Amino acid sequence: MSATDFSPEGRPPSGEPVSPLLSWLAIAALADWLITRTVTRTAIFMPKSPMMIAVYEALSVIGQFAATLASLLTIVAMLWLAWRAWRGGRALLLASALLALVVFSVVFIFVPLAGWQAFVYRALLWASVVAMGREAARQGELRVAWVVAASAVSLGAIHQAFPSIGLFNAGELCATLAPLAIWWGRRRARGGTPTAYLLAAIPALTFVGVYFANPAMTGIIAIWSIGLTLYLPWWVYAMSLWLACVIVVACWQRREFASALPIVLLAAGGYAPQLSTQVFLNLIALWLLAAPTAHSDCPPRRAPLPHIAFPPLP
Amino acid sequence: MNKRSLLSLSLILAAAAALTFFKVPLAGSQGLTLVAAQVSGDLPLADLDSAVWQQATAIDVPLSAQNVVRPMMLNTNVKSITARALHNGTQLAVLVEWADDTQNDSMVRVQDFRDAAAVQFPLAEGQPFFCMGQQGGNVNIWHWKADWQADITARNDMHTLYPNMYVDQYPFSAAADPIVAAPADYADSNYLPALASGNLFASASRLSSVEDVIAGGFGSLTAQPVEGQNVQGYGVWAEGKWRVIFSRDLESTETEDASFGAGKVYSVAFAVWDGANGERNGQKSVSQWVSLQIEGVAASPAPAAAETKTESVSYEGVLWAVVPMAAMLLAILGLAGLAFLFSKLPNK
Repeated sequence: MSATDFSPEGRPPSGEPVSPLLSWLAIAALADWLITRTVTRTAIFMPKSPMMIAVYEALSVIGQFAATLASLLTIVAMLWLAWRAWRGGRALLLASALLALVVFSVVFIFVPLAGWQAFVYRALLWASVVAMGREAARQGELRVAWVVAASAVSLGAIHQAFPSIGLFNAGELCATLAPLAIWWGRRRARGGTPTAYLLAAIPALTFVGVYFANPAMTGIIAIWSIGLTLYLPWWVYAMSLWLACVIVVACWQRREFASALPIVLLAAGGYAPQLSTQVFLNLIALWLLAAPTAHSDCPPRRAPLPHIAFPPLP
Repeated sequence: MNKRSLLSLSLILAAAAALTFFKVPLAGSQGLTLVAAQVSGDLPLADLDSAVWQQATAIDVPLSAQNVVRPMMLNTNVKSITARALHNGTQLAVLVEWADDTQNDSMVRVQDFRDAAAVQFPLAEGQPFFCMGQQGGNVNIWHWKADWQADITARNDMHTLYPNMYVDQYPFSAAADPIVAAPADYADSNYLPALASGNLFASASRLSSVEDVIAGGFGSLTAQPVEGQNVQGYGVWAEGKWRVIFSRDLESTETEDASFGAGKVYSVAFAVWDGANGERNGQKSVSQWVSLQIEGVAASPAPAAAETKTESVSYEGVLWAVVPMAAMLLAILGLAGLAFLFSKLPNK
């Protein structure tokens, strides 16, 4: 890694561009999450007028396209990560695991995940997380955040292999605490403007209002949308949502879109996901947390650097 | 955004549009899969200890209390079931086992509740809400009831539990025994309106321990008509465990029935009630959707193939096989092109 990659505080330069691939992936994943897994699923409980049915069908088509686009971009991003890890020369385990995960995910479209194949697939998933952990251990700012988020991803995967409500609840706790850990780790995001905190409070307060209006229905939508069962006290989820939004809004205000990607992808992937695309979104988010400067695939616009060498992965 | 990135993303958008149009999935399920093993010969539909069941891989499916809509019970007793499935190309059988300390197979007294289990399949493409489907997403439910199973052997009634009971008379019946009036004792069945209207619960005799029903959301559970009841059940309680076999023909011509084909993957969900815990209706343990794979090779349209053997090629089948493959090939070529373009990007 070139010394000019970072500011004196050890952070990437302000206004850093984000790889077009990852920004498109984030947009597609957000659209899939919000349209397919949240809005349209919320609408199934509503009596539908002809107008609403038409809107519902249009949203479904848009959501299907977004889901397909997200799946495609996720596969491309995983291959890209594998290629970068392999190019670094020190992360052959990670490169191999990511590549194998992609191959397995395509195979599992035709052959259901079962038996030894399921074990191998999940072992590859855990191997990828462990390999990323080696990179995460090298950087200090988000080390704790990475451990919390990786625990959520791992516990969700372990629960799917060996169902246990204890594991599931522990993973949900980690998933809920991940935004807090990321917010704590990102010192600049914590220094967000009051506007960021106020804007971020809108979705959190909306969640609180909806929760108290109809806790059962809120639970259903939460499970379908993001995989959380809301077994913890409501204020934990409200706080988590608030801080997640603070991070995103603060990064948006600072034009540091890349810094918001991990939280966006973790949310879009959801907890204990049911599809390979969502699992891969979680892995990509963990990779971005582990190597926070490696997502930049474009030269900075304001102050071009003479040379940017992507940090070699382990 | 430079031209290469724009070109790459345009390619991806085009590929995504093509894949969406042809409904080619790019994501695999991460959940459990119940594989219905293909066997030859008759299925052991009433033999729980048959060695044939060992040919099917058992999976443990976690259950949790239905906590979505009232009536709900948050401390249900059954936390998981074990499921196996078999098929012989004609019939499908699903064996469900779960631990239950008590055998509750009578609903005669108002304070009694039955043990029961249900298997649920979506009727539409995709996975509707796992608790009884949703509007526009009906589900077909096979509901096995322990009391119906007991009724097949010997029907329980009030006088079974209260042998010393006394009844002055059953109006409009000509029962020889004033204590026990059977439906046949009524000259006009309209005096037994539930029976006359075809209510399965009032049926004089049980042909199956499974009720074949459909639902499209909470409060929409609807029994299929008597002639549409085509699911068989066989359940035995022993040593603190219920073992129940659900069976039906793989294919069904009824629109309200789930239909299955070899080589395809469906969704299935399970529910269990423990009568001793007062579980009934929405107070139950439910699973999320589980994939159900019917082992074997997908068949081409059989009647056409049989009748026009000289043509021997199902062009529709070929089309549906070739188009997704072509789409996948397109996607792979796109990925290769992208990889090439990325490799040409400068290192900055």
